[in-house]
Amino acid sequence: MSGGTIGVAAVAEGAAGASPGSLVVDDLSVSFGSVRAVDGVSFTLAPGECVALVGESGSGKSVTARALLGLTGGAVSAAALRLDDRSLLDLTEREWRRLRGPRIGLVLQDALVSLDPLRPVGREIDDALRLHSRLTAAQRRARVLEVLDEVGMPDPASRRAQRSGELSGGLRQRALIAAALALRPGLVIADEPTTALDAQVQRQVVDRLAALRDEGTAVLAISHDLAAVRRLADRVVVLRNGRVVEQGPVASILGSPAEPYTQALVAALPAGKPRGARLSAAAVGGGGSGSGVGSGSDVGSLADAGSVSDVGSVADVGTRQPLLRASGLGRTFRGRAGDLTAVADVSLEVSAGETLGLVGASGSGKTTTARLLLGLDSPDTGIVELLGEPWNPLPERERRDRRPTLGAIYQDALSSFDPRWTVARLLADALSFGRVTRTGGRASERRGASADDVARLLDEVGLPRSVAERSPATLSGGQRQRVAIARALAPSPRVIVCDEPVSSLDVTVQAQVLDLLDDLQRDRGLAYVFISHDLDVVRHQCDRVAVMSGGRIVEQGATEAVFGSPQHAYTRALLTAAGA
Amino acid sequence: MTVLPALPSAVEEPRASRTRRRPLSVVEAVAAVALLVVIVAAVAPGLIAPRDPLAIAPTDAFAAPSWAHPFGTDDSGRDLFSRVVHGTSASLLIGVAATAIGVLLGLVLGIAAGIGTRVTDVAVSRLLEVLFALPGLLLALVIIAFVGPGPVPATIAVGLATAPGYARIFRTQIRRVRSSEMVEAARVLGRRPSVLLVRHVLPNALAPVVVLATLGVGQAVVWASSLSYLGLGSPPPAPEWGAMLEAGRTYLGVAWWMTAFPGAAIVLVAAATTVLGRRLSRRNRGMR
Amino acid sequence: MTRALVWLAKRVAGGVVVLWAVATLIFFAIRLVPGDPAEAILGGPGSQASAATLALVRREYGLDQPLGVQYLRQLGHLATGDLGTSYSLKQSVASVLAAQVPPTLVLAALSLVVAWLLAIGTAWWSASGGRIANALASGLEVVASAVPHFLLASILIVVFATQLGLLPPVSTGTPSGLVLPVVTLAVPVAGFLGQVTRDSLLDAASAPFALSARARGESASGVFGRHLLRHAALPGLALSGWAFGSLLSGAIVVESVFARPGLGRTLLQAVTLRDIPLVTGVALVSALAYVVVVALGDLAEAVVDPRVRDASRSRRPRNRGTVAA
Repeated sequence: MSGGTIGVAAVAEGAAGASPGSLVVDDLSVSFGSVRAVDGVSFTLAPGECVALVGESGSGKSVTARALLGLTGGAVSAAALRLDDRSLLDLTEREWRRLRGPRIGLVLQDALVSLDPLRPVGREIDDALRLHSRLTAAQRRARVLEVLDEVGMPDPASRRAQRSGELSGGLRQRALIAAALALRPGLVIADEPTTALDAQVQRQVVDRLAALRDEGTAVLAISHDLAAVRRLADRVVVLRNGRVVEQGPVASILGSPAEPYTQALVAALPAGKPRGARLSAAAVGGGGSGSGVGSGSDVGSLADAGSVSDVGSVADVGTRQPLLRASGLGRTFRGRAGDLTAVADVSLEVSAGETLGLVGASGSGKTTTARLLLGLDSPDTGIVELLGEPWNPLPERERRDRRPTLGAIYQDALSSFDPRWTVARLLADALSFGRVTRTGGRASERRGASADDVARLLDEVGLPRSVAERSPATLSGGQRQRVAIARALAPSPRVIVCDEPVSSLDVTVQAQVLDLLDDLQRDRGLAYVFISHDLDVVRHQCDRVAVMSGGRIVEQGATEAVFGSPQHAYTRALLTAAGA
Repeated sequence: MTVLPALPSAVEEPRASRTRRRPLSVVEAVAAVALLVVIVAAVAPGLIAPRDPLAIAPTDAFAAPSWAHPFGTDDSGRDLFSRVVHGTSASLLIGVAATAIGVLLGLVLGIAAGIGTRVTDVAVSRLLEVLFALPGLLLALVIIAFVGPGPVPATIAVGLATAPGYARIFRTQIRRVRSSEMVEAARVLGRRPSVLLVRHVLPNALAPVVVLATLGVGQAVVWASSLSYLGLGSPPPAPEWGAMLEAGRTYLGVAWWMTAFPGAAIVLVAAATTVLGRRLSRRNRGMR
Repeated sequence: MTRALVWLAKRVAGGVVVLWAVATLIFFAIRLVPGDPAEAILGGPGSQASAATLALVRREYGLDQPLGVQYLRQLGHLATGDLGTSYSLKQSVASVLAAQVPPTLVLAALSLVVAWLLAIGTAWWSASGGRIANALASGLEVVASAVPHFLLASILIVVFATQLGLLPPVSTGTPSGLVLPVVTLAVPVAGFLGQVTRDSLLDAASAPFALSARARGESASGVFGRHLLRHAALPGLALSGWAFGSLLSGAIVVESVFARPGLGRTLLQAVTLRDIPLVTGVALVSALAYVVVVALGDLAEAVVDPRVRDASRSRRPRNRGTVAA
């Protein structure tokens, strides 16, 4: 306690700007054993400035951030690592503890697990005050309310006593920020602060961090989401494999990147790219586990790479008969404490060669709708028709033969695979459904043909044939999603329901998968129902879009019409939040 | 704490590395070697201990461990090392048989509850709840009260007493796999329910059966020996660990080795199976 | 208030069902054993009961009447607390149990406390002590959960009673006489709880909220005490039913080794003498205790994890219904 009294007193008074928070990172390296996670990273950060560390998974951005908190658990070395005038090299654990909280604050993603789920959020904020100040319990309480109010928490007095699980996504993220700001640190590190949040909540969080920066705090943002970075950061540091690729002002880096890697990253962003434009033309094969798998651009045969829009003609669907049509769908779940209407009066249709986007916040009924379309759940009201014939509700036995017509792709591809099966077996199994293959009807004959069929399928989704004998668990996220797509294609479906198919992928991998879906649509005339919470992806990928809120479709129409001149208040709110 | 805090990243990549085969740790290596020795002792005890486990030598009674008798001798001067080694097969056999009974019965009940109708599920689940109210050894004792003591009843009793635990695990596993995305994906393809069950649900749900049985053998050996120790299992002078322990009970004050070495053998089997079973189950979880 | 009453009512109803089911199982088990049920009740064919005693049993149990009547009679007796007469002890089963339950309860409760202390202690030590401590703790836990009670009891007796003379080798009714039985009973439970607790402690330690807390300036021990401990204890609490089983199973051996009065030793005697009414009584008491212990465990879980309370209060529509496979 001795020696730190003055600093603590200043913090206790909560004097803004007590610690200005200028950061110098020079040649920082972090190793875990023989693995170098961060390799010679340098950048600076001034008070009132926001620098964003950008990169895909494994780029070392999170490890860099933890090095600034002394929480890596690895070996840290640097030519210089300074916060204001204080070197952060060779601090004892005790000295670190005095910096964490009062001088440096950390905001992580997903407050549901970043705040202790067993404790009220007020206690979490209080902890910071209790550890670093000599305030009385009453004073701390007042300060907790004050901080909660500062981050825009409505009714702080009662929210304080709730746990993160009891708060909505937006409110709990605010509580998490409040816990980091309680001691007014000069430097705030925000590690993926907007990931996994709905668009509106993302906007609130970004606004809050921007306000913080404007008040004079130094903000270090870490993100793979370039859209969020564009709105928040002054300067950008692009990381790859632990090294800095390039850095500079946000406008020039994201506007006219010099390095090929950054160019690919920016090109992969779906925002502002018209329907049909390729995202992965300058593919760099990033994000993979380095196994040298052909990226989308290897598949020259089916993609006239670089060309912008032949898709226009396919998307130009006017009078064709819809392949999948839902009318008046309703589904209510009965619960102990009351019923929950997940879906009400949902009507939609999708035709060959067309992609229908389904957007909405989490809990808006998108996934329930998908399950009704797929016939995995029966609607209480309404009907789904497939190829003009009744589909759901219908006894499973009567529709099983038609199942191959309808495919599905999930967000978490791996959990949709039988973990004991290799890629080849998964695909051969899926191939045994649907139309009788060229070689004839008998199962035994089919088996002989399937090695070729599997190889053809792998070619079609741009995977090397060598993955056939591997287990999906050993593949990268992008490869797994390609396997999932191949499996969905195997029975030659006409319609595929995609539930958040790219949500857990890095942006360059996402670009490749989106392009692949486009290519397949063009080749096979597929109809997609494309569910996503990411408006940029939907706007790029879909011909028409349906906006869901509270289980209902509030607005539906051609994508550009809906995004360009939204009619419904909810759609407008959603688009404003997304900054579109 | 030296644990590296997990880096919460938007993208999941580490799964691939989790399935990479981890080398055996020191503890696991020791356990594997120990189990190997135990198996050799069970199959060919003469290789390790050539002496006759039943040969009496009254003059040598209660000899402390020495070069001639590494584990000492018992009240009749029999060589304890030989007896422990030759007792392996009987003790293991009881453990394996009891586990087999428990796992098989558990499979029947678990599968009935897991794939049966709602009514079957409720009925079996209730029955299991009731059986859980009579914990392991107590249930075994109640069964022996009806059937009478002896090695065979003891084996059956231990087997029956472990069945509810297995049944519950199998039921939960089957239910979990049945509601998994993997099964959903197979349904979307148009897979028939019966094929779905045989090809996806049961193989995945019952994969841990090997692990459970491995873990179970150790526990069953402990329970069976407890019954013998209480005088309800194998009677002396059979070279079976539990029976040897009961014989040593009287002489605990004068000849600790009569208790220590058979006891150590039991702990060895139980600990080794636990360590290896846990490794197997961790690998299963990794692969999901 | 009403919620608590509803909860209690449900628990009581569940408990009655379990007791009824145990009684029913045993009732039919007696009749399924080949031979004369009267003889079975008196200890099997080996008991050489006199014709007069057999007749007495037949009358008391109504064995000459139809099965349905017998069954209802038995349930009626149970409902009024009449558990029958122990032939070996020549006493009413209820009075035997009344005398034997308290010592076992004391033993089990103390052992549970000691087991939790040991489990949390090793978990904390191994989590904070680095790799070697972790491996050591893991090994200790495995051995502790694998060691049979009778062996542990023997070792403790040889070391602390015979060699060192610190503690009495048999239970004397004094506090020092309780030490060895309690330790014997606690160690295997502690080994198992320790494994579970340490696993969940490591999970919680790598959770983002732990990182948040460290980034707030919390010390390692602060993170442990304020955050991790509760998370770590949860799976152990969920295993209350299992822990109870282990304690009761262990009590059978421990009470017999240390010559301590109690339920376990009574059961062992009853089994050896095949005193079926007494065995039935012990089984029923054990089932009752199990129901109470599980209820208490659930309560403890709800205190430590408020989410459990929420879950029972709010509706959780299961988006992913069970597949009609």
